[in-house]
Amino acid sequence: MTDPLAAPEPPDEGGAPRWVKVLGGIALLLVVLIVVVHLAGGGMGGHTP
Amino acid sequence: MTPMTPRTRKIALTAHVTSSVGWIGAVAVFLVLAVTGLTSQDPQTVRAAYLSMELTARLVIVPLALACLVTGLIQSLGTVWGLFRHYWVLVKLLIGALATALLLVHMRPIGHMADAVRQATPADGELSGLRLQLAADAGAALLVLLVAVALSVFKPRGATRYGQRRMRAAAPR
Repeated sequence: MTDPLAAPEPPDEGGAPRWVKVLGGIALLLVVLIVVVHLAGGGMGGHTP
Repeated sequence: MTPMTPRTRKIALTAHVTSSVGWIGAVAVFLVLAVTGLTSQDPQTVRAAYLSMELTARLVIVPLALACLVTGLIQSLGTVWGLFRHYWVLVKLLIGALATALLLVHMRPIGHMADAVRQATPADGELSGLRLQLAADAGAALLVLLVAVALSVFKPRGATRYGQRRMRAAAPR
């Protein structure tokens, strides 16, 4: 595994890298899918007091 | 926070890797049990599956998830990686925190399912929504945990704005 003490990369300009945006988009899709599954299964009743 | 000594760092890393990999393994087992409970036609197998899921979640998955989160925080704060300087660390933290929070929320339906099978084995189609949810959630959890592992190994580039400021401040003039 990379030695974290040798980690620092040169500062790069610009916003979040593309992989963060792609991962974020996939995460959003996953959340939507899970919400749909939960609602199809009868809502969030089992999760609440 | 002062960077840890190499020995301390290795101990912390060992604890983090052990709890992370253990968490993934336990969730994989949980997923198998959830699918078994959902698909099996044998009432005793279904009952055993949901009782085992409750035990696995309560005694293995929750402790490992919390250990993974805590050791991950120690790892990041005790090394030059930091907690908010690099996107891969930040994303891992979000994954770990959200996964742990959702796990704790899901302990209720997991317990509900175990209580239901203690009373009587569910008939075909009974509680099918909840049973499907448990399997789907376990599958999603396994997926995101594998993403976290990949981030740990590949450490994709990308410093946050905070990280960039820190690096500029630390750069020799």
